[in-house]
Amino acid sequence: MTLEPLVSIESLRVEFPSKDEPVVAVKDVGFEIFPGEILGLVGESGSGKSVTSQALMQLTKFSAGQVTRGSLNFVRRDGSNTDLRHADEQQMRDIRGNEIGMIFQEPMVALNPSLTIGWQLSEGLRIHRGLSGKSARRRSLELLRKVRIPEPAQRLRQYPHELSGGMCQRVVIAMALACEPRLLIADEPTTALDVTVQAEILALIAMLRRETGAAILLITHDMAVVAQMADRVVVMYRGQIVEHGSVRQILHRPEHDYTRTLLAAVPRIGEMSGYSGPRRMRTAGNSGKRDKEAVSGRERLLDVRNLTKRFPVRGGLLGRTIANVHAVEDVSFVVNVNETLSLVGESGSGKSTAGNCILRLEEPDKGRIMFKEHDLLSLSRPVMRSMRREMQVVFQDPYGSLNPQLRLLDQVAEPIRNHKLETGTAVEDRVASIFKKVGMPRSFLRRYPSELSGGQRQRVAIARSLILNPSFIVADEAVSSLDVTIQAQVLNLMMDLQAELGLSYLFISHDMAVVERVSHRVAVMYQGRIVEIGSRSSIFEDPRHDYTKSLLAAVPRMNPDIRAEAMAVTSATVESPIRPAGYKPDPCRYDEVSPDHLVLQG
Amino acid sequence: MSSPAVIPGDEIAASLDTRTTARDYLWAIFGDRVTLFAFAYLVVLVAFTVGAEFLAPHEATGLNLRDRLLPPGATGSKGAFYLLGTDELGRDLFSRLIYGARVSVSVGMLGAVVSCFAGVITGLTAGYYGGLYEDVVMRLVDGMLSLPSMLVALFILFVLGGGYGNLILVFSVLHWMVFCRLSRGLALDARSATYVRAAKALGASGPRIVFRHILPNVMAPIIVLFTLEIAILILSEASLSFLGFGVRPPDPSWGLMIADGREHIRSAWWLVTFPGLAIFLTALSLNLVANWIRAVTDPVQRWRWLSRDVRR
Amino acid sequence: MAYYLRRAGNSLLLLLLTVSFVFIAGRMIGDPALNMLGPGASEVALEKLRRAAGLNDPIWLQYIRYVGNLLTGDFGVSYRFGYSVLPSEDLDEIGQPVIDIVIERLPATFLLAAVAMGVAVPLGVLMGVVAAAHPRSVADRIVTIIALAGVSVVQFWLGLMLIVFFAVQLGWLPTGGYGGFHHVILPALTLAARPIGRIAQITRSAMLDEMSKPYVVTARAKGVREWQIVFVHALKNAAVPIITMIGDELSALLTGAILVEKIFAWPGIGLLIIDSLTRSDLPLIQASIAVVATLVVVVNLMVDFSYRLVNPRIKLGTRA
Repeated sequence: MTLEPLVSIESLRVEFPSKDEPVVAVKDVGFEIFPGEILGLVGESGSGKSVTSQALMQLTKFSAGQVTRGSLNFVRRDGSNTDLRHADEQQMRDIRGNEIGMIFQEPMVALNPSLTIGWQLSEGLRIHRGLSGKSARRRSLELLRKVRIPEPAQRLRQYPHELSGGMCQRVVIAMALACEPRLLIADEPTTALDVTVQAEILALIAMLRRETGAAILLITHDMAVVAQMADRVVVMYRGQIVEHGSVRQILHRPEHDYTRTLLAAVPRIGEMSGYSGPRRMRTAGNSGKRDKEAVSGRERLLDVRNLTKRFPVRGGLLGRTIANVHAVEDVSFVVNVNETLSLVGESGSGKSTAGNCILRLEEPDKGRIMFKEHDLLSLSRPVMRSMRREMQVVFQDPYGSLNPQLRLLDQVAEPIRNHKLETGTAVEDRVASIFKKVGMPRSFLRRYPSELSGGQRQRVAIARSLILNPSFIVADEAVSSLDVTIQAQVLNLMMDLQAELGLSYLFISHDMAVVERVSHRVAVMYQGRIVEIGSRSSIFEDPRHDYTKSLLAAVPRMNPDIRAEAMAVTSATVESPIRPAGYKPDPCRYDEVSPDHLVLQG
Repeated sequence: MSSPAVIPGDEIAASLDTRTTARDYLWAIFGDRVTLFAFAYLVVLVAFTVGAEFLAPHEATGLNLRDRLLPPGATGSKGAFYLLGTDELGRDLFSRLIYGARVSVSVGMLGAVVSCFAGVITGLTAGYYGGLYEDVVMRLVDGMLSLPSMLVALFILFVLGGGYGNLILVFSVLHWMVFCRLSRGLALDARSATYVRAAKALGASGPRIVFRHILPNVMAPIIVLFTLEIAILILSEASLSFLGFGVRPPDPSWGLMIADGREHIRSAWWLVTFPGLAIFLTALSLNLVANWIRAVTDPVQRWRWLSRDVRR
Repeated sequence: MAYYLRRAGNSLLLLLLTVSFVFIAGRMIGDPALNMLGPGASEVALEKLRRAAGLNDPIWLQYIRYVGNLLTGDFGVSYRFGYSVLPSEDLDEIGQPVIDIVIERLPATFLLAAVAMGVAVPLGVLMGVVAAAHPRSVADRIVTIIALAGVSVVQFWLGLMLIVFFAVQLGWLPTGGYGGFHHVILPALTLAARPIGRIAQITRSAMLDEMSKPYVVTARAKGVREWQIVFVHALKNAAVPIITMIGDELSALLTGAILVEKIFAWPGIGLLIIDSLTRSDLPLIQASIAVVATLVVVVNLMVDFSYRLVNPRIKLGTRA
């Protein structure tokens, strides 16, 4: 490229003070951003990608971070070249929001909850453009139209909590665009959003780039998003740049080992056609072949019939129920021995509530749950407590699911003690052997959870769920908050354990690509109902329900040559599953399109 | 210094959250001079409370009418030295302060202990179990919290009569709700925490979850509140005793001493000043210690307090 | 609307419980007639009073009559205030209606509370905001220390010290009593010390909380000035805990005034309460407690309603 770079960062170093010695978050980082391009800055958590972008806006200083070396040259609108590392606060205020706009990860909290959308949107215009009253309002309306928000005039008077997540992100984008910045920093702009909303927002960003000509620094952990969006890519690992180049070069011909590992670990949707069972993930030095395969049995382990759970919304003078959230509505499915059934759906689809009901962590309102020969809902509390030996759970949050005040040994041994199975040194031996199985060293037994990384914690959580030799495990978004390389390892561990121990999984997830990799059968949930259920191949290769199709279409592909830019940029209205009290929903009726492949009618 | 480890920025919080040893805490106390003074004062105070008989230079009730109303630092008729002066009966003020500490501090402590136990147990169970039990408990708590507590305390003491035991009773009845409300909120947060749901899924019983899993994780804010409540109760005791509804003479309490000294406020300033100062310093120290506990147990700001080279 | 009604209903129930408690506790002290006439009263006089005041009726009837009277604003007559001779046939001449005595005292207490809170709220909020805007700065430390001193000091002792210094030593201000503006300065300052400290503390911590939220980063990224972020963005979101604290302190002040009014001989409701307690004037105690409890309930309701004004997220009346 012969263009002058808009931003050129050289040998940047950012440090944070800490208990012992300063922590170097970014070390010797340098790259350029050219006008009008989308530069993807990729890395896993802790790679320093966000810190780099904050340094560009001098925002690190508010979290005690210091730029200790390097330069951050930025070509301003008037053509002058400023080193943002040394710019004073007044200069920075003039640049922030005016010449550089920023979009954040969690749109719901990025907006001030007690100020109206209109006020927040026009604030930048008042500061940088001196607009006021009518002209600011006119421009705000224009911006909301630009980000394709329906009924923009009404939105101006609303507060953030009255808008959905996707809508909030559109507002944040409109805010960042208010003063027509030359550079837009998008820090994980779609990570907190559902996949269908993500597709809309990505399409919107791509379109706005074409319309405004602004350069975009797109920070993300998701290689597929990069493949869909970026022109050039910078890969970061532990505070340093390991590789950079054009998007095709990075995706097709990665040179650095880390980039290769990263790319290998990403499951690609559609790559499983022709296989029947789950397949191990590719990790470094492993092509994804398995020695043992879990062949699902035909013997029923869990049989869920007409499961229904509603959460009352109370109100009125006496606090009566005025409406119900229909979280799970008439859900039926079967899990066979040594089989993985995935429940897949977006946030609010009721998939986690269904899992909780099966474990009786929540009491369902209606339905029947047969586990082996027991009717779970008719069991008394003490009997149910002993049933928990057979059915276990692994939660999403590896930081929250372990008690921070207990040693790992005590955490993992807790089920043994709860059920008074063993005592004394036998307990420790048993814990040690299960630790070995999940790949944790015995020396970790006396450690506390805070001394572990996220992946290690999730291994401990799995060890804890396995200690009683259960036959059934609910994995509730068990790998969703892990980095992709760690995710691959943990998924492999789960699949190996399944083959070795004959486990059955109810795998609850929002990630279609992961689901494709691990499942025997898949159930798609939408607004509390299963809209389609069948074998993995029938769901992924022959989807029949409209929602399943849109869900599959929304997943970003790992191929920069096939870009889904034609996606609709307007937002679909999501129907809320809140119904007035006394509402009687129709029962779920299914068409059997092929053996065991059911599609919801209507 | 060897080159610092490259620890990823986003994991800073996690990497700092390694376990803190007792040594770290000791170091942090000694590093913060104000907190150190507060701790030292409280240690000395407790020592005086426990060993008043050995540590007080004079007897608390030993009258000596010849040495009436001597100013601080005066030497009395028999060569006795009065560090903080004497009162209208010639009793040594410093010794009376020490014996008064025994009453004031122990009323505060015992009141806080009883209300803490009652409040934490009801609060944690209400928050965890929920349902009708929680509704009833919280109605009661909200109702009692919205009563004018000083007035109710006065009224109850008017009916029952003052005195040491009744004071503790009144304090417990009127302060357990504070602990209850806090613990209930903490338990409510913890109930939806993943580690609690995990414990439940693993087959742990209700009481086990409440007392083994939740309680240790919510101790810090409870200890902070406990410390603050001691200060509040010591202040209340002083007020009630001053009005004549608290501790009965001849038990010396700091509030009573101020009430007695008030008659001589124009001639013997020390009689009012020193007991008030003692209460003030005690409450201030307790507040400082509470602040410090809050800071070192707060995941967001603890590293500032526990770090050695970036100390303010 | 339903929410307000329910809240008001709860408050009324609470008031009823309070006066009932006071009634029952009052009966526990002993014979009301003896209490009223004093230990020297003759058995004839006592019996006469009992009959006239209905004290021989069953306790539940007395209770109903008591509550019924309260609803019409009749709290009975004082045992001690406004009478000098032994009671005649006509009981109305025993003393003044207590409710009149209580209401007569309210303006003085309101004045004191208004001046004290008028000083404490702006000062406390400002101190807290300044401290939170520059955490760990010199200003922050000074605010922290002043706030701690404010909550640690014994109010009546502070009052005495102020009297010694400003009234006795310097002679600038009166030692007590009710009159012009210079009378209100010392008691109001004494009363303001604690609220200043507590409001500053809660403001500081609520503001620190808010300043660490993502929307503050958004505002910074927009180029908003730091003081605007503090006063416009963060303060509005920190308002709920601050208002709660102001309400708590206002309630505490209405009762905390007891000591300060006593020290400064300020003829407010606090002084009345302490006098009625020391003289065992039961009807007067009952009326004072009922009035103060009503005031506290009103303050709490006002606090509740004001949440809605500052926080659009709070949807009153719905609870998931």
